[in-house]
Amino acid sequence: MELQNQYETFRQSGAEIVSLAVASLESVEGWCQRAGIRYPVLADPEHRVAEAYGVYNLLGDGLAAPAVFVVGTDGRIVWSQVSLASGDQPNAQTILEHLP
Amino acid sequence: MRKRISPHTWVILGLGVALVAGFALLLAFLGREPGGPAPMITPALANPSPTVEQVAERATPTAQPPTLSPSTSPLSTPAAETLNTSPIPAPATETSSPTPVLALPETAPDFTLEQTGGGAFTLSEQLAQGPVVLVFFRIGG
Repeated sequence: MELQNQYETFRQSGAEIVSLAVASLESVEGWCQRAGIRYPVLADPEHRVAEAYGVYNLLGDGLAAPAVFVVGTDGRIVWSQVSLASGDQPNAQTILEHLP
Repeated sequence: MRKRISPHTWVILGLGVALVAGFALLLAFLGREPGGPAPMITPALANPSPTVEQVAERATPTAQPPTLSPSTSPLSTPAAETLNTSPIPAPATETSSPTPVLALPETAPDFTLEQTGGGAFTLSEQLAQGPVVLVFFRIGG
């Protein structure tokens, strides 16, 4: 995963990457181990957070659409990107350019 | 009798005038640089949040294809592009699924979720330390 490779760059920019998946904590942990993810990954099994951010079930499959939200320290969403293609992965460089 | 000015003197005078004019132009140019763009930059700097809002607004429903297209894999780009620009035609092929309407928040809703490695993560607590990049991903997707 590209974000994993750029994780240190994000940390040097003062930002934290937080990944969320609509899945059980066990599924998320298994996925993280396989992918070697070092940053915090959250489980949203009841998809409350995905719904609050408006990305739940956009593809009609009961999961969150691939999406990125850059949140400033004041809680405002300064940049976001939602994809309606299930295989889309966020581009680290694009996100870095939009960090507040 | 007035002494005739030699060609050499004219050349030196000409060079002197050219030098002075060049300096004047240079000074005028340099002087404009800090002062010139300032009126254009100042409104943007004085009001950072509206531009940021515009970025957010543009990036969410309409401007995503441009941000996606140069960066993501060519395979996924066309699908994302067509679906992002017109989210409504999507259900035409799958009539049973709900219409994907993008209704994204402007302010990040706070939440607390369990995280890998144990413990809970609260967005507001993390935001106290710096910006946060929330990435919704799909396991197996």
